[in-house]
Amino acid sequence: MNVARTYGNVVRRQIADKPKTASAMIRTGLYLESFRCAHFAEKKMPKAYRFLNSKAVGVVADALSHPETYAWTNIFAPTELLQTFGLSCVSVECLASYLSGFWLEDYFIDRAEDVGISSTLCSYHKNFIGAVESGVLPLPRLGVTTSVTCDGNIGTFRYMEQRFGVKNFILDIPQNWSPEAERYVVEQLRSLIQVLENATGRKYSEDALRETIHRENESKAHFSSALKKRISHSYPNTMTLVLFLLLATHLNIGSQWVLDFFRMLDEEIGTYPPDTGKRLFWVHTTPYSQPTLQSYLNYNDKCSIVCDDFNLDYMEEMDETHPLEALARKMICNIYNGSFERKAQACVKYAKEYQCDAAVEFCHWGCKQSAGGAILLKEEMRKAGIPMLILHGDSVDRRNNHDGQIRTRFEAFLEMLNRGQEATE
Amino acid sequence: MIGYVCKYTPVEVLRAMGADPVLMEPSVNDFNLADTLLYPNICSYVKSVLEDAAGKDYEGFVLTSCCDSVRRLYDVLRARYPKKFLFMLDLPRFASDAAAGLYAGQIRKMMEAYAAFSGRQFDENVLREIMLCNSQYRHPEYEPNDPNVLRIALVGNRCSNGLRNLMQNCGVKIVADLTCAGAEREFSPPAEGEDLILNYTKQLLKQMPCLRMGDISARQRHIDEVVSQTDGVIYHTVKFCDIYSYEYSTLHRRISVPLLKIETDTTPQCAGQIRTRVEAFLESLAAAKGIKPVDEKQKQRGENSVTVVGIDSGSTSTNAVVMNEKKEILASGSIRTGAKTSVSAEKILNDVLKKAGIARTDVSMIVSTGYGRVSIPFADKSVTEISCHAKGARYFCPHVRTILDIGGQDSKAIRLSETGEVEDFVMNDKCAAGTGRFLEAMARTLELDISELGPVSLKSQETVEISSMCTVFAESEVISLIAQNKEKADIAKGVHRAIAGKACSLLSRVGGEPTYMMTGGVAKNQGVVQAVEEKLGAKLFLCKDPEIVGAVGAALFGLESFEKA
Ligand code: SF4
Ligand code: SF4
Ligand code: SF4
Repeated sequence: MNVARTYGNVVRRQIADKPKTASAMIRTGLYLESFRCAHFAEKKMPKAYRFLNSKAVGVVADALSHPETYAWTNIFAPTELLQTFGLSCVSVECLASYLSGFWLEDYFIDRAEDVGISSTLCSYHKNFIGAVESGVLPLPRLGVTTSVTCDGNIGTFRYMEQRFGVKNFILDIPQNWSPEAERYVVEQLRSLIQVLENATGRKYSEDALRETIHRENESKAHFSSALKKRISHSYPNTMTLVLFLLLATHLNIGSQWVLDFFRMLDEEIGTYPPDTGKRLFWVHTTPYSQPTLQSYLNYNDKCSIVCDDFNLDYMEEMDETHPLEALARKMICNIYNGSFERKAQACVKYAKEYQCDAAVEFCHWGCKQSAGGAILLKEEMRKAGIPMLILHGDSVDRRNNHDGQIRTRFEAFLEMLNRGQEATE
Repeated sequence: MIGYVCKYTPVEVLRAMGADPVLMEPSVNDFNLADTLLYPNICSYVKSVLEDAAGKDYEGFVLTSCCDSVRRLYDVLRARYPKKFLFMLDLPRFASDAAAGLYAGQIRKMMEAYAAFSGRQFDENVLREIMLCNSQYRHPEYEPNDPNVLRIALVGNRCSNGLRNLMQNCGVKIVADLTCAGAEREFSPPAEGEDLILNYTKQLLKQMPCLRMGDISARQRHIDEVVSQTDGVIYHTVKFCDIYSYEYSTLHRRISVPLLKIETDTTPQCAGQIRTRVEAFLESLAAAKGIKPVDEKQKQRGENSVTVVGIDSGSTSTNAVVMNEKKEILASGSIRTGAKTSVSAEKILNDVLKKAGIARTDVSMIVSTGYGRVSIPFADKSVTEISCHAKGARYFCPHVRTILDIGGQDSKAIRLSETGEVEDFVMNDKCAAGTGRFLEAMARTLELDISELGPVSLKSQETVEISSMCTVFAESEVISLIAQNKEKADIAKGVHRAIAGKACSLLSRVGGEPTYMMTGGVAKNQGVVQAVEEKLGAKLFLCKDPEIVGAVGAALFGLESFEKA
C-alpha cells in the first residue's frame, strides 16, 4: 500500500471542514518525508541526492510553517535577491508537485475549475489555486513573478492578490537583451528592493547579494563539472530528483546548502561505473508520478535522464560586481525567454555536449509555451541527428494520463533506438 | 495587406507608411495545418490565424509578444514564410514612460524593417491626422437608455464579428466592448514638443488594459462602472486561452447583473452551439425586463517445423494470424474485442488454430501486440503495435516508406527508413477523432451500416463540409445536415473528407513520403481511401486484409527470434 496515498486520504477528509488541520498535516507529512530521506532513503539513491531530497522537502516544510518568511515566486524570479531579505522562495510548480505527492491534486484541480478557472489552464496552476482556495496553503508575505515564458504566472499571482490580498510584484522582462532592456529591468529590481524593504523591515545589502551571486557562480561551475563527468559515468536518479534539482538550480540558488550539494554531486559522480544505457535529454517537466515512465526511468541503468532544459536554462557566469545588472541579464537571456529558437539551440547544444542518445519532450497539459514549440524542437533535433519523442500527458493530474498510450510510445521509441544501435553495430 | 492580431499594434503608424493593416478575425473549418505545425492545445484563435495565413495573400504579419500561443505562432510563421514581412513587437506589460520608451524603440525598428521590405516611407502628417480624427470618438455607454432595448457589455478576449452580429440581430445594444481589439481606437491630438512616435506610443499603451498587462486596475474600475448600467454581461473566451478565465472568476463573484460565459473556437459549428446559448440568455434577460422576443421561431505444417501465432489485441478488434517458418500465412481471423482482452485473445487463438488445423501444443511461439498485448497471459513475447505494423507492412509491400493505420480508437502514421526500420511515428488517440469509432458513430447517425458508408459516399455529387472532429459535435452537425435535406452520399463523403484531413495531418507531421500504405480496418472503406488519396495527392497501397497487418508483424517477430536462436 502506498503510504503517501493513505496519508493523503486522511488529509483529504479534513480539507472541507478543517483546512487548518489539513494544512498542519501536510507540513507534518513533509517533515516526516524530509527525515525519512535523510535517514532511510532508498539504497540506490546517491549520497548527494539524499542530501538534496531531504533539503528540498525540508525547506518547503519550513516555509509553510513560517509564512512570514516565505514568498511565492515563479521559477525565473530573482530568488537571489529575496534570499538576502531572509525570504525563502517557493514556486507554484513546486507547491503543486508536492501536493500531488499526497495524491490530492484531483481535489484541488476540481476546486479551481469550480471557481471558474479555465480547465485548459496548466494543472500546476490549477492545483495551486485550488489549494489556496481551500485554505490549505498558508498565505505568504508576498508574491514575486516575472513575465518570462509562462502565461499562467501573471494571471495566477494577480488572482491571489485580488482574492486573498497577497501583495504581488510583477517583473516585466523584455524578450531580447539590449542596454535599454537591461536598464528597464534594473529599474524594476530597484522598485522591488523598496517593496522588499517595506515588507520585511530589513535594509538591502549589496554585499549580501554579491556573496549570494558568488556562491551561485561556484555552484553552477560544480554543476557543469558534474555534468561533464556524467558523460562517462552513470549516476542513478529518478524523475522526482530531476524536479527537486530545480530547488537547487533555481529557488535556492546562491544559498550555502545548494553550494554544498553541488560540491557533493561533483565529487560523487566520478565514483560511479560507466554509463552503458541510453542517455536521454529531457525537455520540460517530468511526470514523476507516471507509472510507465517511472518503471523505465527511475534507477534504471538501461536508460536514464542525463539532463534537462529546465535545470540548464541559464548557465552563464554572473557578474558579481554588478549584481542587479547580472540578475537582469539572467532573466532576459534565459533560454525560456525570447524566441523559441534560443531554447531549441540550447537544447541541441546541451544534448550534444552531454552526449545524449535521444531527447524526450513531455508536453504537459495546458502548457502552451512548451507544447507549441515541440514540433520545431523535434525538427532542430532531427537536423542534429538526435531522435526525439514527444509525449503528451500531465505532470500533475494523474487522471489526465493514459498509461497505455505513454507505454506504447515510449517502448516503441526505445525499440527504435535499440534497433538503430544494432543496425550500426 | 498586413495581418495583425493585437490592439497594441501600431496600426496608425503602418497606415502612415502606406500599408494596409487588417485585423485578423478568421473563421475556419478545421485546424489540420495548425495541428501539424503547432499543437492541438494551443489557443484556437492562434490556430485559426495560422490557417488563415496559409489561405490568403498577406504581405506580412505584425504580431505582439502577447502570450505563449502568439509567441509560438511567430516562430512557426517565421519558419514557414521566410519571404513575407514578419515582425514581432515586444510589448511591455506596463504603460510607464520607461516602458513606452522601450516600445517606441520597437516600433521604430518595425518601421525601418518595413521601409526596407516595401520601399515605402513614413509620412508624419498622416499619423498626426489620424490621431486628430480619432480624438472625436464618443462612447456608446453614455448614450441614453432605451427601455425597450437590452444593454449588454461584451467582455473577455477577442471575439468574432459573428458574435457581435448575432447579438445585434437579437436587437441588443452592445454598450461596452472590452474584448481584444474590440473597442474603438482613441487618441488625443499629438502633444506639441514631444517626439511624435514616442507620444503616439504612450497613448497606444494607455488604452484600456487587457488581461495580459501588468496593471489592470483601470480596467476593473471601468468594468464595474459600465456593468452597473447594463442588463447583462457576456463574457467571451477563446478555447485554450486561459488568461481571461481569471477575470471571469473574479467578475462572477463581484457583479450582480446576469453573466453568461461562452467559449468559442472560431469554427462555424461552434458558432451554431453558441447561438443557442446566447439566444437563450438574451431571451431570459428580455423577459426580465419585459421586452418581447424579437423572433419567436428561433429554436500449414510438417513434423519439427516452426509455427508462430501473432495476436493483435486492439481496442475494438482482436486479430490473429498463424504463420509457418516460410513466412506463409496459414490462417487468419478477426473478432471484436469484448469486455475482457484475454478472453477475446483466447477465442481468436482457438479459431485460427482450428482453421489452420494445428494443435495448440504445436505452436512454437505466441507474440502479442496492440493495446491489450500486456493483458494476454499466454503470450510468450510482446512487441508494440508500432514496430509490428512496420514489420507487417513491409511483408505486404516491400517498398513501403509511410504507413497510415486507422484503427477503431486510434490512428497513427509511421515513417520507415529504406531498410524498413521505424524512423518516426505519431499517434492520435486522445479521442475518437479520425478513427473507426468516429465513422461508426457517423454511420449510425446516417442510419447506414458501417459497411455501406464507403460505397454510398462514392455516389456523392455535392460538397458538404463536416468541420467538427469531436464525435459529439460532429453528430449534431450531421443531424443538422440531414435536417437540411442534404443527400446521405454527400454527408458520408464529407465525413470521409474530415477523416482524411486528420489522417493527412498525421502523415505530414511524421514527414511521410511514398510509397504509402494504409492499414487497419478503416482501409476497407473505399470512401476513406479515396478521400485520403485525393487529399494526399498520392496512391495508397492496400492489402487484402488490412486489419491483420499488426498481427502479421507480431508473427514475423516471433519467427525472427527462432532465426536468432
Ligand atoms: S508547465 Fe508551462 S504553463 Fe505550467 S507553470 Fe510551467 S511553464 Fe507555466
Ligand atoms: S490580450 Fe492584450 S496583448 Fe494579447 S492580443 Fe489581446 S490586446 Fe493584445
Ligand atoms: S486568445 Fe488568449 S491565448 Fe489566444 S492570442 Fe489572445 S491572449 Fe493569446
